[in-house]
Amino acid sequence: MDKISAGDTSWVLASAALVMIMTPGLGFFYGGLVRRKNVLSTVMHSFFILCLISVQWVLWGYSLAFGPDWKGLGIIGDLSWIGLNGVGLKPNPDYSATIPHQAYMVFQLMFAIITPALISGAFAERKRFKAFVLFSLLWATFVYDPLAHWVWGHGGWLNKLGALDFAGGTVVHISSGVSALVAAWVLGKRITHKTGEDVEPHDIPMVVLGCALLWFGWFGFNAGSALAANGLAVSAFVNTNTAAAMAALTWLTISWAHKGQPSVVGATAGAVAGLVAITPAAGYVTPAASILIGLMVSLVCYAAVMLRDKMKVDDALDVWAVHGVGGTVGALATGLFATVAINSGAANGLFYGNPVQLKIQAIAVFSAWIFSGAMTFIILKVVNVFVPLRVTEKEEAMGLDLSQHSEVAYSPS
Amino acid sequence: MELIASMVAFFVLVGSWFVLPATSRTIEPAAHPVPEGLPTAA
Repeated sequence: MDKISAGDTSWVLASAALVMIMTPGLGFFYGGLVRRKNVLSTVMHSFFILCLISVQWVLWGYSLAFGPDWKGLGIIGDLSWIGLNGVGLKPNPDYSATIPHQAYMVFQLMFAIITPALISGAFAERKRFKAFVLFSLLWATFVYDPLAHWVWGHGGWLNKLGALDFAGGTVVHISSGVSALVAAWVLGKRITHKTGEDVEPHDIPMVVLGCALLWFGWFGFNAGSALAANGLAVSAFVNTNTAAAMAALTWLTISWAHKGQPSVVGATAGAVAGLVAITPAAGYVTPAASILIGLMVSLVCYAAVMLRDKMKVDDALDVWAVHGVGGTVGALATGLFATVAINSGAANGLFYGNPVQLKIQAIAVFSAWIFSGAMTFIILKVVNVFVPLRVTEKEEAMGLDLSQHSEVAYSPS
Repeated sequence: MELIASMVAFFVLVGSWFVLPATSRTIEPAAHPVPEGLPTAA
């Protein structure tokens, strides 16, 4: 009989709370990056998703993602856990033998919340609120839930294949980053490309605050994914902090060389890129490898930002370059640097004599890119049938805070 | 191997900060109120 561990349960619940604060933190991060007339609508995207997915997950999301595999195909969970039916206070050894099943469920909920919130940075300053609501609900159900099942669900096909994703490089970051690119492309550019209006961040201290909250919460995201208060959690914690720091230093240095100054926004973007890249690898690699992952991800993501600029896609807050590309770097790096010396339950990567793992990681990356990209395109087209995706040009010029919420962030009085 | 590579990468970054340029950005007085002490385009 499985016995509940007080230490493990405490850590997973605390980690769930840490991951929860990441989503409002993301709202601050994104909110500081947009113009002052759109800050409330941007913060609202994250806050609203926190509420929306909290209910969706309990009603059907968790069952689709982690429920018993439907027909043994490894594609999606069935609906037998709908409304948390059968998800009780005893452990489920398929997921974690030492914590209540509901503790695992609520920890996973926080991942399901932040993933669609990440996408909102791509369509900031121009998406109609009603369209955003419908898109988020459909995306969570038809993209996040199946993908979580593939990778983490008991019987999921990528899980059975042996893909390593410690805390969500494919499930969270590739899916949101690629979806962001598709969403930015489908919605089209902001009108600023016609008006020539300055689109610089309106509040960089808010960006730094948001980044700090993300970094803080990421300890729960990655170290909590050990699902136990043990050495593996400590290893993931150390790797998370190290990769974030190295990536921030690297991005800052590249931007300094490229633009002549060490950018504050660049340092925060680098930290987030490092956190993204270490996410799939956190519980599999050494601290030295996490330094190299931090270095690599900033080099690649900085290049991706410049590439996105050339692609003429208005991914307003570079979600694809940081999360889509950063997640890809992290997932592939896991296939290079993973070692059973850190996690005996996993596998070695290429540098430790197992080239097959890199191939498996590449399959997982490719599948996540294609699935999330194609599904997002379909969902956006469906939503557009019922609600126009974009606000009108007049509403966009007015700003989404007033046009969508009838409020302003900073009262003139 | 990983340790040596990460050590080299770190010292390359730190070393680069001593040779990278320190250019200042100018601020258009018409667009922003300029706090005392900052360089201006004019």
